[in-house]
Amino acid sequence: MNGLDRSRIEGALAAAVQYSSADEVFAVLSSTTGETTRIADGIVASPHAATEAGMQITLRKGNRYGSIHTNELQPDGVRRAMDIAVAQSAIMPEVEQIVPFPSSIEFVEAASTHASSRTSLDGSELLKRLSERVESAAIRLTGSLALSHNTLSIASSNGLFLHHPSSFVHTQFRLYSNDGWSTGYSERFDDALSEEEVIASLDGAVQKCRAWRDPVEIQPGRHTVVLEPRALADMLKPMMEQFSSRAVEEGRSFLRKLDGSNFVGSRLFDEQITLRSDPRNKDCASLPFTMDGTPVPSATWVQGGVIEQLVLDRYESAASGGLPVPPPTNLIMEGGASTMEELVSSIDRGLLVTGFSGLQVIDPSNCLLTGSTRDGLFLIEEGRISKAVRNIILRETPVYLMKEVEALGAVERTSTTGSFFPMLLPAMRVKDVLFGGSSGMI
Amino acid sequence: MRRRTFLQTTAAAGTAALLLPGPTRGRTSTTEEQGVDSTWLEDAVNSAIDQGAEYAEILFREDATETLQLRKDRMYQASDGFHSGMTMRVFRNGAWGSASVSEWNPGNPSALAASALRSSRIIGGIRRQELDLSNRVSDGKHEWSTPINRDPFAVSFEEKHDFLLSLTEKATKIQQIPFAVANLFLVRRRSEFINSLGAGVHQTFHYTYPNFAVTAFHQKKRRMDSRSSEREAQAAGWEVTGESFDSALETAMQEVLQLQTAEAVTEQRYDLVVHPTLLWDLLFTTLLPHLDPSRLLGLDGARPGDRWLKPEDLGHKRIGSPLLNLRTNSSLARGLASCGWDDSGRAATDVQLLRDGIPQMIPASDTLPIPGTISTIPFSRSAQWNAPADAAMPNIVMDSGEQSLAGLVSSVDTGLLVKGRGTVVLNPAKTLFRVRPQMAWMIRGGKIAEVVRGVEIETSVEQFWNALDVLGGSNEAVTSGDLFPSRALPIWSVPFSISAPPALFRDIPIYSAKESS
Repeated sequence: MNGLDRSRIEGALAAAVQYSSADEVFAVLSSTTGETTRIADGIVASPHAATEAGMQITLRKGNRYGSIHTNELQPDGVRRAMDIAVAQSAIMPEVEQIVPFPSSIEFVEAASTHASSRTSLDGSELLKRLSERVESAAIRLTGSLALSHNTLSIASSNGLFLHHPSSFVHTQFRLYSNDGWSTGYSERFDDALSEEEVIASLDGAVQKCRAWRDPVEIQPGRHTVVLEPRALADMLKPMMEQFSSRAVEEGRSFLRKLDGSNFVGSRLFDEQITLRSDPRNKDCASLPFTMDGTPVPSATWVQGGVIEQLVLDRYESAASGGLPVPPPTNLIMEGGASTMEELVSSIDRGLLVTGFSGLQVIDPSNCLLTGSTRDGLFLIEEGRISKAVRNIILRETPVYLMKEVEALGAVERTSTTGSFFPMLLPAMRVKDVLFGGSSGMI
Repeated sequence: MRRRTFLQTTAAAGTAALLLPGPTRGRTSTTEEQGVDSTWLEDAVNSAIDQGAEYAEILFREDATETLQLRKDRMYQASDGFHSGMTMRVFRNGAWGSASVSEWNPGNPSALAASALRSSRIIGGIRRQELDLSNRVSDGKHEWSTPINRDPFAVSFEEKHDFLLSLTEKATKIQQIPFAVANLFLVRRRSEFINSLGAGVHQTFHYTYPNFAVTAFHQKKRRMDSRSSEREAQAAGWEVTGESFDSALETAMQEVLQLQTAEAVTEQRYDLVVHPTLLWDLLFTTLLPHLDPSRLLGLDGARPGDRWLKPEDLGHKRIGSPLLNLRTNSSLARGLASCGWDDSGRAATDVQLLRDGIPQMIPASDTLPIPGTISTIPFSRSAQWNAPADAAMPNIVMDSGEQSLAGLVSSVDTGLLVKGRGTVVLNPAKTLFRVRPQMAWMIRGGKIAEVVRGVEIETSVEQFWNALDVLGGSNEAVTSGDLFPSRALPIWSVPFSISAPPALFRDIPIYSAKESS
């Protein structure tokens, strides 16, 4: 199966934006063609192949907006949907500020490294190999293997057209011991299926799962930690969402000062911290435009600990007369020179954190997070990993990590757990990170 | 076996009409290929058989959804959706395979069949199973529809807006109720099922869910309390909006005002009379998850190691009072899972899910490898057009007793009457829960006394269901269901309803929640 061809996408978008009963139309068409194979406890479920496409349409009639989502993309299906959206707009309240939909005629097609030409994925051999591997380690395997070809295309009645094709192979496995009391986790988003890399990633998770035996309890309190890149990714994603002018204005950001202004230009983080984004980075390619049709350039968010800029959406930028600053679609952090062994070796007593589960922001004003550690929490004693530790509750803000970082490892490609937000992040050592008691999480 | 060409005979015109009614479907193909119609679906089934499938079926679905939300007097959200497409399932050489395509981009019928067969080949190289076609619809054309009086999608936006506004306007006229919200969720699902046994099934489902919430604010006490409507989603049409919403709103308004001045409950153990508007959700969230086949079989990768029930417990382990009897009911009036046939073309069969507090069976699908020693509920539904039919829960009816709600109250010396669905919080193993009902009244000497606030039930699932002592009568049973179940379990991804009576539970620990303001 291949992704949708562009001429059909253009045809469906044209049917929407040429609709004459609205003053303006904005349409986002996304499509996925893919195949997913799931495995649970060595039992492989029937793979499922799917081709789907859907279009979100927003239209303006006078000072009112209507919206609809449809996957009936033949011209009469689109017209029918838009007739309903027009009728719906009549009961919506009038808006005071009309910001026209984007109008620049622009074609954006990133030089994506996600260029797999495979049209199908016979993962049975790989799944067999993985199953054999975990069986020999007396470990059970559950997870999925998916190949997808995707497109995201945006058009407006004001002449905008953006198009981005991408493909990737997503492997996600959770391992657990036969008694169910120990887990490991492996997840990868790759441009193409590399069986050896998937197996290597799984081997790492097997190692963690086997090592996480007879966990000890630790007291709530502050601990020096080494965060692996995926754990760091899960903590940084909510922090980056607060790099927003609107979030600052509404008091939902740590970047808001007491007087209501923001910290742009201030050194808030340690000098080692530099955070950038660049959708065209070949090791970390991502969506080159936002869902509201704004192209995403490369950007620096933090330079040497100094906050450089905030996201400014189209409405705010129109009100202020400036240009919009789109949010990042990936994240690139500058790394350090330390190896993982070096990060661990200087710790007298601390923790190695592999990942988290269910992280949530509980106080937006300082980005305070809570959630459980998962899939490998280990005690570090006298510079060595010594014991498994029962999962505990994190009660910390990533802002603290950025301020108190001690050392950084080399960057590697990672993503947030369970979703695709590509990042290049290092492992990080930080002192005195706050944890609560046992979470009960397995 | 190649599908018999029943559509070419008398049923042909009927089925074609179902798939091609002009104004609603308007199916004019814009693809290079032939558009999707009954012939396309039949071609796909025949092609699968020609390519070697022992059995093939295809389910075409067209879903329409609408969500409207009015906050005070202002429309806050209005969104509609239309989604259609089909999923084919095939069986060959001991393995099932499946593939989906959207209606807009169907490609060639033989390509869909080939894709489904290829997926069966992948799995066939790993494990094999027997083909069991028992109880499948095997001949002729069949139809089933949710009984409705008026199609909600034929009601104008203005009428819907006015209905919602009538609720919020009335509520916010009361000075102490500064905020009210009214919602309307509508779903219409049309499906066409064709299999290689020569059968076709057309079904139409309607789900309508109007609801409201009122919020009162007590200036002096700095208290904010909310009360939402108790009627849950119904398999019905627009007519539900005319069924005592006014009186339900009046009651909610009075109750939320009573709550504002109520005193906190004293923490201790109480006998609880649980209203059906709360009891169904406690069944749904605390007990039924343990019958999820993935969890029970230990295949739930997210939660290994902490399952409460194991396969060997079915038919043996008592998880609740002997009064706890649950039976499935595929034709429950207004039940969200009521249907003529499931999405695998099986006629509904009703079974005893729990007998005398002992679970008897679990839902199962064609593809789930379940040991033959386990009894299963043969009921599969697809969560959306692009998902193959999977194990699903049918509607459930909880056995009733003889007592009226007033009778239950009269048999309590010191206790609480609790009603209204609240947020249920469970531990990861789902063996402990905490819930704050929307309303609670003290019961003293067999009579309902004052409203109390902050009531939180916190106990273990096992203790709670074993504390069931008396069941109320069926005439006071209420049918409720979650239209958008998202409990992270596969079988809850398709809505179903639970009919529950009021019930009396003895000696339940009650805690007092912190003030929220």
